[in-house]
Amino acid sequence: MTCPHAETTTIAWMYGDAHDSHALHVASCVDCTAVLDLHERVGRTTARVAPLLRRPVEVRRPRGLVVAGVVALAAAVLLAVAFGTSPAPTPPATASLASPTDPFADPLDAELDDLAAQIELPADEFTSL
Amino acid sequence: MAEDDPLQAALSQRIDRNRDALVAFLRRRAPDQAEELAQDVWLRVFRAQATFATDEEFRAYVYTVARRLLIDHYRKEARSPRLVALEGGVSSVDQPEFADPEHIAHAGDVLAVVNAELASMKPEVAQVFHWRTAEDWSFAEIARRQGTGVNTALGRMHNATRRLAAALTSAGLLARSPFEDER
Repeated sequence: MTCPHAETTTIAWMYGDAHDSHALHVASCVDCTAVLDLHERVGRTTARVAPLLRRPVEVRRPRGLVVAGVVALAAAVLLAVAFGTSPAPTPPATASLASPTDPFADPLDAELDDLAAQIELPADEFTSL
Repeated sequence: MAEDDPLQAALSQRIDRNRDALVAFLRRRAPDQAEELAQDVWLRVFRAQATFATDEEFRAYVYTVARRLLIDHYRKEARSPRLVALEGGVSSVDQPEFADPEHIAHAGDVLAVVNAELASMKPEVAQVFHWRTAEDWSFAEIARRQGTGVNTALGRMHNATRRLAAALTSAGLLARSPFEDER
């Protein structure tokens, strides 16, 4: 396969994504004609069963992977800061039922909420993590 | 007027000489749409205003346009489900009582081979084939959704098609090449 169009423009043209005038090149190019032949035969063979094909597994976009990596890294740093460099929180010795503060509140929760708000992840990205 | 323009007159003569053969070619591949497809081919040939030194060049161009339109036709057919998947095969949803058992069995075999081959591909490659054939998304849209370039999406489509052709050939299920028929 030596024609530079055979696996690019010619495939786009076959599926209606390139200009009709490319037909003039395809008609005179052995490589492109062979590609057209292959796609026409596979298209003809598979057309009737195409609606029944099993949907392939979802592939995440690279951008999603990057965002997931950033969030995971940020969470790891926060956990390291919270548990690695400061003493573990201890409950108050005499917690009063009338106390205005929640004895089980964890400051890490608030920090994670702040981080999520700053990143402003789209809902679909966030839920796919 | 075609009669006044020698180039148009020559083109009309070439079309007349190839009209029946083109319809026959299309009828073998799209029996219900052969006449309409042929009209579309001639329209595009007229619009292109291309000149050809020989009849052979002209015919090569006409059949190239025809096969490109056939691919369009197959895509439209793919979006009009006429079969339904059943456990261990497929059945017709149009007229089950008149469905040709041989055709149904062939479709079931094709479906099994294609699904197995797609499952063995890299997911991003199989995904391009599925989105282009079953969903009819443009390559630009596919590239955008995969976060890649259009040429990568085109390459993945060709890769998937090549692998499916090999698998279908091994199973004796791939349609005949137009080169094997008369042109």
